[in-house]
Amino acid sequence: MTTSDGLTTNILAAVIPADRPLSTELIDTVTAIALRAEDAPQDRPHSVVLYITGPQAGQDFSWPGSVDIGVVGKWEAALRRLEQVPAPIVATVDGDAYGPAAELLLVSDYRILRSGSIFGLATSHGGTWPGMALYRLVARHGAGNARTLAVQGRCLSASQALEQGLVDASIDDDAQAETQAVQAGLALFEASVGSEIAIRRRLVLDATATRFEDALGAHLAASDRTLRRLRSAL
Amino acid sequence: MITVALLPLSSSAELDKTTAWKRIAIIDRARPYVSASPQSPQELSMTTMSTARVEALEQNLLGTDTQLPATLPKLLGVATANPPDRYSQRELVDLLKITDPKIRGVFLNGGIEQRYLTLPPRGDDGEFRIETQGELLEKHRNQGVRTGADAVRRCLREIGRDLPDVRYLVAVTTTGFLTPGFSALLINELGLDPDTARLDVVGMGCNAGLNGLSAVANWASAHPGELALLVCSEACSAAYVFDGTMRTAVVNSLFGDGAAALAVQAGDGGGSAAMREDRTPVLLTSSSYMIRHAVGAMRYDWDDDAGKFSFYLDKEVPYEVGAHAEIVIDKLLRGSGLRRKDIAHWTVHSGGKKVIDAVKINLGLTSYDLRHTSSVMRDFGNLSSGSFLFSYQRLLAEGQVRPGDYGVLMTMGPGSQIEAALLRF
Repeated sequence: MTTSDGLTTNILAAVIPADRPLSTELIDTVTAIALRAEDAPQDRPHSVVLYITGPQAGQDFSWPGSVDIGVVGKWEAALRRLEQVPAPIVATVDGDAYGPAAELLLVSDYRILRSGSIFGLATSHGGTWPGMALYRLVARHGAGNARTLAVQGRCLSASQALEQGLVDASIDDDAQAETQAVQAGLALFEASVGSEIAIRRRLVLDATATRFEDALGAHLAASDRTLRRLRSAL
Repeated sequence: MITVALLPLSSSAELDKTTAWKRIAIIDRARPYVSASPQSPQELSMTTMSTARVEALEQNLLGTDTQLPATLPKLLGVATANPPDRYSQRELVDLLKITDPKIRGVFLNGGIEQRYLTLPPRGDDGEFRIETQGELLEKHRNQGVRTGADAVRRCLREIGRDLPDVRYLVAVTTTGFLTPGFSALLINELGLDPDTARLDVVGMGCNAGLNGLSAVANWASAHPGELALLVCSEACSAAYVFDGTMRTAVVNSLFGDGAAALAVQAGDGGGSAAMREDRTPVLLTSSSYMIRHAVGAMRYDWDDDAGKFSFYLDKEVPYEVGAHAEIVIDKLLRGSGLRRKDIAHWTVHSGGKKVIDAVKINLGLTSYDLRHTSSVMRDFGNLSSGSFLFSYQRLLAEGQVRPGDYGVLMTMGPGSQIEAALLRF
């Protein structure tokens, strides 16, 4: 991809198998792509593309499965690390965005879903899985969406998820459509700087939990940072 | 190589790998996103080789069992002390009879709830009297020696050592000028051995604790087995000018009084047997940066109108500090194999609410990363050179640190200067 200033965007791609219970392998895969993005040289733009494999229709698995809370803590840390990478994240799910696939979509900047699939938090006998995906859902999409998914335990069809802004594109189930949607997502970030996107993500997430007076300093600092970038580019 | 980069190392991942190549290749053919436009899995793997290298690096350098040289200086323990009088910001606004709503706002919305201060004596009319520079210096000397000595005694008690064990003393202060300085006054006050080596770090401001730590650490490395102490003692209320202007209000609303002592030793024989490994990190390296164009942004210099020293903080300070924070931290971590996200514990100087925000945004830190910085700010105000040691003390007391964790100490002050040090627990 060639950006407006002639630089080539380097794609950091990862396949994430999110159609099985939580494992250290899954955590390592998510951590590895986050590390690649952190380590990417700053002399040209980078974008992360996640190819998430969700469960196929009718395929059932328990999430997180028989793990202890320490493993869950590491999964949350891996998602948090991914959420802070200095690069835009485009994510596409092959299969349903259920459980871990939905959690990964929620930390991504551009989200692509197959039209016949669903978006839903993992549910077990006791109700929906109460991970930090709930927090992200409320912070970024409001309590209304969170109530439907997390309290009522409903799943949304791809078109409903698109309507509610939980995903950005609903595509036909073919490779060409996926490629085009990923390209469309990447095109949004052509002129973006990854470290700046990471700051915007933080400000958006913090906004619901921070008093106006307490948020002001962080926003002024981010604004100053942008002004300095503009000045140095002149 | 690509399996490390893209996939978990499980047999079921093999299928995914094939899918991945196919799907990524589709993108590449459609439009050359990847500069090399790989057409085959083998070519694709070439583009991701650097990832495999980085992960190998992580395993080698970040393992907790890496042997470190025994001569590295170790931070044995820390303690703090404050003068007796503590005031809430609201009390101060009333006591100082501040009615200007703007100045009241500066006092009440700066992230500070309370501070230790020594307010001026009251005159015959019952109002606070304007202190002379001589009185302020006397306050600086009395308070500085008393709280500094308290901090030293507590620090030695904390690490199970005695006063005669102290072989080197670095005393840091900015809020007054004394000759002989605090190092001599404290050796006298505490009854330390007359052959204790000493150094005074004076007038360097809020960053100076880490400048002092460099001196202590170097001395400790050159004298293995001998105990060195850093003492930061600031009586910020000896640096106050009350003139009703916003300039002095910003300063007067911010700073508090207090001292901190840190014990450092290289080699064996340090501390009591009960000392825990996770509370005695080694100092690996440090880095400094002076923002030269902002040399006048923070000043403690003579105010002719007031007839005394006065502190000045430019409103650009938070932004200058924030804009240069990455340079210092990147330099600190260069060559260590560490990424910023590998730092588990950030101990940043409580410079002011806006400074903390600017550091947070520019380094990509969270409010959680800066919880001790913010809470020290809330409970003590800005204690100048010793502030970061108050935060460091809270970090250790919290019990979240694990052996093998990395920590960064970071301070900023006049120069404009940013100092950073890398610790390994």
